[in-house]
Amino acid sequence: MNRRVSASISKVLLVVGIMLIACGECFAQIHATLAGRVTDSRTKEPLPGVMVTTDQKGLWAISDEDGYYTIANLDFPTAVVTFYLLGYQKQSVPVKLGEGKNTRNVALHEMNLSLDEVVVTAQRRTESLSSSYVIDRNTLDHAQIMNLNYVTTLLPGGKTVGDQNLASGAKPVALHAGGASELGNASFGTAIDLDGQRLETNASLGEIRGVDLRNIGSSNIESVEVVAGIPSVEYGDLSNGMVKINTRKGRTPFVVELMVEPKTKSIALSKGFYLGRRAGTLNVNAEHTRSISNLASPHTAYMRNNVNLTYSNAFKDHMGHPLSLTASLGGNIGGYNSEADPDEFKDTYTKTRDYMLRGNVKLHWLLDKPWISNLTLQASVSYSDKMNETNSNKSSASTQPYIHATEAGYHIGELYVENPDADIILGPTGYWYVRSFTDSKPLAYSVKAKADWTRRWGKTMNTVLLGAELAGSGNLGRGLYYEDMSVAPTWREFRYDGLPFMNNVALFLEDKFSMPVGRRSSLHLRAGLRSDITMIKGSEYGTVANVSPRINAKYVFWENRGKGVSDLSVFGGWGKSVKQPSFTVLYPATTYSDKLAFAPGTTADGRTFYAYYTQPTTPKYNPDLKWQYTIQNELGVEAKLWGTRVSLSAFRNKTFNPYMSRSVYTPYTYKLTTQADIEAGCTIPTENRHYMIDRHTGIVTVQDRTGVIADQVLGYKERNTYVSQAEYTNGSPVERRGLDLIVDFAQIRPIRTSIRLDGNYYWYKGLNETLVASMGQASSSMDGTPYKYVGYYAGSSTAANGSLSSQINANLTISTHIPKIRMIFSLRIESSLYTYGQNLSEYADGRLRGYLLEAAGDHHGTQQGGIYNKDSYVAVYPEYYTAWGNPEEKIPFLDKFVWARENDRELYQDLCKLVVKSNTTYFFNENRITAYYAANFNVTKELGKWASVTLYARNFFYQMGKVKSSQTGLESSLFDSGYIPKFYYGMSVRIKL
Amino acid sequence: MKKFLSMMAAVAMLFAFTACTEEDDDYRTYSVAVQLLTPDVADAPLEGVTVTARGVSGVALAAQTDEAGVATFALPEDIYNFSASHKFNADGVVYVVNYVLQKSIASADFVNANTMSLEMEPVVSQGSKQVILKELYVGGCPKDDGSGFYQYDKYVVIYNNSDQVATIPNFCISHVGPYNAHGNNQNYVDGKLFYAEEDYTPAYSFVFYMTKDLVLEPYTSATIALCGAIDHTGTYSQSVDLSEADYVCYDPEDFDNPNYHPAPSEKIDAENYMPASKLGLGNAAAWSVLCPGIFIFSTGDNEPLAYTQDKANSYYMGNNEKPTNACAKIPNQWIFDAVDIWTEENESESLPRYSASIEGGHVCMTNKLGYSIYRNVDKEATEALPENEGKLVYNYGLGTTTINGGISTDLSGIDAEASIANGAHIIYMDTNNSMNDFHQRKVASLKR
Repeated sequence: MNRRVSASISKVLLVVGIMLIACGECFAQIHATLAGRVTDSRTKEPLPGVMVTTDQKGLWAISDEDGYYTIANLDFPTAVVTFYLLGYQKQSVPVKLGEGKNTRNVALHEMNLSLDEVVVTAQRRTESLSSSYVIDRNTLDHAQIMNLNYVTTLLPGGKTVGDQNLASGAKPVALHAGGASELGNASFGTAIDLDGQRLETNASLGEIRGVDLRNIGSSNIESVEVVAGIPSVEYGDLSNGMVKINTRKGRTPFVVELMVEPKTKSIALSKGFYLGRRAGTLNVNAEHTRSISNLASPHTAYMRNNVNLTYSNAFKDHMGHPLSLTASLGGNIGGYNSEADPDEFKDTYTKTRDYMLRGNVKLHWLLDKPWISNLTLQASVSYSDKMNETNSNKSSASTQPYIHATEAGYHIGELYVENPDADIILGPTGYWYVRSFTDSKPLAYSVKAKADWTRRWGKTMNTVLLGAELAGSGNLGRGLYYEDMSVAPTWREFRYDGLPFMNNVALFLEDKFSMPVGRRSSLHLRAGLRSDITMIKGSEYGTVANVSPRINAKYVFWENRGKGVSDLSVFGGWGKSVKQPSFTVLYPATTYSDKLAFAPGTTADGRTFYAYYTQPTTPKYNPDLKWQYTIQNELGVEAKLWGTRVSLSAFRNKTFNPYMSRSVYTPYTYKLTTQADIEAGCTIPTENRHYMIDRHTGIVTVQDRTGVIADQVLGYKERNTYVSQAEYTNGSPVERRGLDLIVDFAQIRPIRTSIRLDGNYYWYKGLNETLVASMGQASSSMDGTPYKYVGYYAGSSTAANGSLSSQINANLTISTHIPKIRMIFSLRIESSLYTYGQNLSEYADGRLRGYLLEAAGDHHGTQQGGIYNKDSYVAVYPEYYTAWGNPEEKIPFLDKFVWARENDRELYQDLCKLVVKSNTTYFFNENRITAYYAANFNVTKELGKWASVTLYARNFFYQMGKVKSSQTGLESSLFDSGYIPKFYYGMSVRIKL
Repeated sequence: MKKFLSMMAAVAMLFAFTACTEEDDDYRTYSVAVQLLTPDVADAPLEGVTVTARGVSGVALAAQTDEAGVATFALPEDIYNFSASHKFNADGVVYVVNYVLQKSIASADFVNANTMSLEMEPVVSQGSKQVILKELYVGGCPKDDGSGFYQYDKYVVIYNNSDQVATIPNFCISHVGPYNAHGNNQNYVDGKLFYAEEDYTPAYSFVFYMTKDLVLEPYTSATIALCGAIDHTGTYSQSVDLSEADYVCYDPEDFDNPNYHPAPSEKIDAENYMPASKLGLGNAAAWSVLCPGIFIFSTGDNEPLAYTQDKANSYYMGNNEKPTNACAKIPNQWIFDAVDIWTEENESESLPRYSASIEGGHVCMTNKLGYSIYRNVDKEATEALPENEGKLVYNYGLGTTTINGGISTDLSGIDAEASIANGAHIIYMDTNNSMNDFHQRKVASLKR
């Protein structure tokens, strides 16, 4: 597959090369310099630090302290020059160049609501070759985004979240994905990039999920770009698109921002200091946000205390070429804390730190050599402290066994005062506190170098990008531990800091090419190849290599034609992206099965000398584990029709080898000595007994403390059971398809009103066939012994092994923007026109996996006529099963089950326990939810140039309608439901000083 | 039509103030006549039957039926649970007839009449069983450090309510689902308990059984520790000492949570451990701490484990075959006694979990305070026993005040435990209606 792809890319590059040569002959070159001054349109003061970019050879400049800029070596008679400065409206200016020096002065307009062009909706990045949306500061302010996890709700068809409180836990971003029940780890595969620095959760233990953005202050964000389509090969370690967050950089006034919602309050201070001539600018941002999840319990809160420092400066090398330096240091101190909550019992609490420190240095150097245009070097590091601390009160009337044994064998409980290192500590009686800590400190670093080489031949331009990146992640945390081991419950140490770092070396090569086709049209291509080599030192996984080719193309039929269809272009792409596994996948912890082997009667003082047999497992490294990857396809069209801008894109993403966990059962035997055995075999008076258990054999011996009676050996019975452990493996492919639509109607000028219609269609199918083992609901066999059988099911040990869903969402946004009074009002009606879901129980080839039952109590059914929409219960059988005595023998389940019904009643009864059934008769019915909608409004008003206010209300008319589910035939109220946002409101004030 | 309705409303308002019995301005009562309907079996006497009316706000009144089987009350506005039970013999069989009715009494009902007439349908079951539940202590008690309440000290007391020795093979104890009477009850279909007409009751999630015959002498009891057969009082002074329980539900192979199921006291013989037939999931056999529906039964000649594990006898609540809904069908004729405990706070949202012939009513419990549910004494029968002469202790004072201000107590006035300690033989009420048969006791009988 990879070889074929590489060959295809080579062919494309060859064609591009030939075209380059051909075109290169067509145009004469000039030697021009463009210089000028950038000023503020209102104050006429010079603007330093303006980024001036061109569409020629990757040339760029930054204006100096007096607003002057110079770009030399321009070699084409026309250029589009773009001027950008934080807080000002971006301006692109076409310039005609003559031989020698050319001058172009530009006045930039300060960004505010008095400008005509303000938007408060996510905008498609038209210059991008793939589906990409930008949400700018105005839009973030207008939507009052306080929790960046919800930024994607502003995308086409997105549904607003009412309450954005930070205390209700993390809800990581997942692009082009549905709910958390979907297979394929979409949020884990969605990459988050903050100013070029990758934020990731690879070294987190626990859930496999994406980055929690709660610790990133929303006040310091300049814009967010959401790349839902195929990203550049510069970006790896992803499988579901990426979100690029850009913070404020550059000179700004002092801004005080206050945001209030019922459950969240925030204050932020920001300023971009101009440090003087050649000294650059320093952006300082500090934010304090306090959020609660329950209005009745306001003392339990999540706090965010962000401080961000960003230094940026531009220098010139000895050749006069610009070199920009950006260095940032940011962090957060905060987290969840219930210590002050009077509702909690005295001294009990939960505290979860969300501390973060990240540093990032980026050097961007225009070399303008014949063999290289720009060189970019970037290094970053991030360190988090996610320490969770709980203090809980405990009590007991009898000694409880706290098992800390790590070796296989029989262990007997001992009092802590007698042996603090005992494998089983007998806990206290009475009242006490247990303070536990879960110490997780993920550390990630990255060093990246990339060089680009841009050449232009007439209107034909080619940029080659070559880069390398070394990135790694590890965890310096200690894992779970307890303050006082005398009261530490059953626990085994699993230190995160003992796990090897996962390092990844990536090399990437990309060519971006654009050329005119005819008089009006142009073709744009981007093709690249990324190679990732993941190294895990000291691990059985060793080194894993992956190749990710990606290609994007865009054909512009025409632009700015001036009438009717004034712009028309199509774009498409294909690409592969690979997501590295998380530490949860790589390093499953050792699991322990502890079986009660002996429990003599509790004495009058509450003591019981419990003995347990411990069976540890060896961590299950899966040598066949493959890295999860997604093949993305997209196709789109953009047009401007009579002033109405239309963007429609379709995608088809198929995720292969998604990470999943499954259980592995290993049989073992232990000896059980019961009270009956004591009574049968022990004549030593209770008060004189001293119990001993042989660590290896499990034989219990009773000693007479007085020495009068000889040792007495107790009887036992043997028990055959299993120890289960998690193994991470790869699931079956998951497919997602969809359409994203944005229609921005031309503004109705007389009433200054714009109408946007955006929507999406989303289709998902996840069907897992990877075998999973389960012992069903059984704990004992018919003969009273521990359950003997393990079933192996296709995909899942539940009735469904997958699901199919689709939805159509449409939002109508009416925005009225009146520059004269500096106000913008928007009304957004969010509708879900079509919501469909269907549980599936089948194989990839369409064969059914489930059997339709006549009655709930049946165990045998039929597949005739299907299982869907039948209003009947469905049974699913394992593919095969194994018995305790011979785990290697795979016995086909159904054949044996049918046979046992007539021939072996006990076996039949036991096998019945491996049959899983649907919970309801409607479980496999299609579920169509009738259409529903809700409406939100937001209004932003600038009070002069110094202040602005935003007010919003979600679901402001308190939608009380009902929806009907075709699956159950029941109606349910939208009020307080998960379908629409709850009624919610908020206000923010921004003051510029 | 609208005009007509408006007029009717006006007239209704007028009569609302005239139909009531004006005893005083702040406490109006309304006349309610309750007619007990005659059961189909034989000619059951209906005269002299005590009918109780218990309002959810705490009012509790009793009235005797007249010759026609009518009991008349003067009741203030409230929602009432009316109940009545009586026994009679016919053709050598002892029958128990239960009447239960819930009805709201509001002034608007007395617009056109001065008296409201109600009819109560009879539910007939055959005579009382030899072994009954005497006491259930399941609600826990306060912890000494004030951090909440303790609940791993649950027990029940079973009692031989007859003058014959009880020898019962395969004695079992279990409970009905859902855990709480006010929880989502998947056993109701179209507003009806769908096994109400069936001849079984589902034992939910687990069944504990004895491995030897239960032998109870006449008028004696046995304590079964549902969990924690140890002395809890060392740590929890308001709890009980279960270290000398007669039996204990203990099966560490199925339920190995040592907090809920610590190793029983060494004073309890292993032969008195009751192993479990585990139907559901979990490492603890959890009995509801709020409002369980506990019942006792015998599987007769059937081995309890085999019978309850047999798929042919399985049942899932709501036909939803997930482990948390697993039950075993227990034939009703195997059941000795059953109690449906509700909470007062949720009484209006609670639904009966037994068919009416098994348990015709319910009893309310307030948990976390160390209260128990204790059986009422059959005063007439107990006093009739000649050997009780001079041994009965009266002026029972361990009833409780309900959260709505009502009284839950044994109206017989006999202090059963004190009388037993005095050598008396107690015959407890057994009408298959917990409203009549039980009250809430301020102090569990095992609390010393």
